[in-house]
Amino acid sequence: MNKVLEVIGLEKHYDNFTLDKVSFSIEPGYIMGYIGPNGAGKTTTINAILDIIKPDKGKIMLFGKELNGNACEIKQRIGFIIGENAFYEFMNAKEMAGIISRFYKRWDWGLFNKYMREFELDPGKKIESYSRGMKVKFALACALSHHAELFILDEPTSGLDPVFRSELMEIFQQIISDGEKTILFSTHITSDLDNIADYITFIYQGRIVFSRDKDSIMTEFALVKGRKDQRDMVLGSGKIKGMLESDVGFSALTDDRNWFFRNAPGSLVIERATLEDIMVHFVRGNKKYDKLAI
Amino acid sequence: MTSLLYKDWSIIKKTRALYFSVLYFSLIMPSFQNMDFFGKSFLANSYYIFIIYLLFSYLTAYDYKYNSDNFIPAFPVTKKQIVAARYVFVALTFAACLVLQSVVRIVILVLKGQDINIMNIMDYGQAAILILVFSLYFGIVLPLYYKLGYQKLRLLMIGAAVISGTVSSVLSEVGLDMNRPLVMLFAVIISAVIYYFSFTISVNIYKNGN
Amino acid sequence: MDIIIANSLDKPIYMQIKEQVIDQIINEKLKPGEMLPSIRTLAKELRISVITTKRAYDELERDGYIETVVGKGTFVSGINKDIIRERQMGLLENDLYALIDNAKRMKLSKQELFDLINLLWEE
Repeated sequence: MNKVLEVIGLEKHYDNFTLDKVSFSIEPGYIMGYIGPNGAGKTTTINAILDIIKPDKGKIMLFGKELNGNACEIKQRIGFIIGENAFYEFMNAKEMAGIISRFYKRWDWGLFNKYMREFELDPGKKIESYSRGMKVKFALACALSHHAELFILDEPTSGLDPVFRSELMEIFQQIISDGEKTILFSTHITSDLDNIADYITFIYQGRIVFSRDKDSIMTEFALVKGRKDQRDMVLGSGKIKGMLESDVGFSALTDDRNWFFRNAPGSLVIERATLEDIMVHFVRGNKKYDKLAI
Repeated sequence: MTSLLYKDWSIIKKTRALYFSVLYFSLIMPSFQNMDFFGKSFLANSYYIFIIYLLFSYLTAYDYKYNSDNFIPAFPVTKKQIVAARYVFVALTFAACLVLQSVVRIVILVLKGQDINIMNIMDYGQAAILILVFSLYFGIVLPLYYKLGYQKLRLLMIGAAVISGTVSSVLSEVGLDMNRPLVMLFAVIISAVIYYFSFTISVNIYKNGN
Repeated sequence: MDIIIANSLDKPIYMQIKEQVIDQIINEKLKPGEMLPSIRTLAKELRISVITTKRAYDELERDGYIETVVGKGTFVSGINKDIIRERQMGLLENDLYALIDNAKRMKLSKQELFDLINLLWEE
């Protein structure tokens, strides 16, 4: 199968953080959500893919070519949104687009103007006068205007209200609807991904926990809830990935929901786990148990 | 690479920094040239370096404020091109200052009703020293900038501009009669070597930086 | 074609799509030869992932309910309604065999099973 993006054994060491052998890949035409708590390594990975930082080890393949050595050619085919700022915000949108347009061989002013109209943005206004949502839309209009095939978006939804986020998700689905464009976007707001993402890659403390299609995650993971006296039995199953306890009971995450359907007593509650449940149980429910199956 | 220079130009244009520094240079500086406090060229030389520093500093300040190191490399440019663009930009500014000074000289000559010839439109000896000082100054400052970043460097640079101004004025005071175009050509070649050497160091620092 | 996705159901979304399409073919809301939305259009309309709709279409195609003509689109196939019904009866029979097996293992009498079915049927 041809891959748009392949990250192979990526490593990057900082004084207080290490990105540890990160690997995942995406096929063309799909949306991949890159999730994890803040500080997990999402931005570091994305910065390596966008050639902003140099990895210590590992390889990044884009469109079948190695990034190192083909960076310029590859980056012509990528659209990106990164960081809180939308470029030089003291300029107006038109001026900033003028700067960006000179970097891309296939820049298309017609397309840019179309998106600016569609997103209801005034190109004559200073970027800093835009709201956070408008800034994201402006950055997206720039990313969409040079006929890119892969979109790499770092936290595009952070700081946006639910209505705006929903609108953005619709735009993302529109982008991939021709089957040739691909989106990788990182977020810690996982509810954005519950619906539209095809693949989920979950990173925690610099390591990939899993990278797979969302439907299989949704059918294999589940929350198991029960009374305090059932805790040891559930932990003893060896199928628990994380557990949160309270005074009145516990909530545990399993990746083998069928095992519990078959073997667990009826008094346990087994329910669908959202991506947020999965992330929270992995991160918070992982600290003090030695019996976890990780 | 032209896209990067266009970006720098847009920032300068937008922030009026160029406008004001050029105004400052072309109106105020010539009046200093007639002063003789510290030797005739101390202020002139200091201001040369200072003006280029000012423009460079403006650019880096904006880059710092808007985190452009976090997005410029994501555009289809190499890190080498990013560094090269900064070196070219600084050199172009310097060249523009030299040309401008000649223009001012020519205007003064015309006003005084004197003849204009290849020998009096520029003080080649002074220009040669200035070119050398410029290449040494930015040859050191630019790698330091890529190593330390804008914030740590900015105070250092003001001091260094004054020192290099002093050095160049001392040099031109003790200098013999060097007012020949060939001397300047020679200075340009040496400077180019220094500048290029500095550029390769900066590229290495920037490529491996985080 | 009408499809309503229930997120609360434990039934996977691809299964919900598949069942609703089959239902609509059976009660002739979808007629043979009628064009269906593309996988990607449907994903966009339903606000679900492409993989999910792809799986639903793949299974529908595998079971002969729909056909994909490359470059043209996806269409309801000319499958006979009786055949569909027969096939569904077959699936139901399989389920019943499993049920009867289980009942026998639990030593349930035929009458007890009928009673249970009667009770649940009314719910």
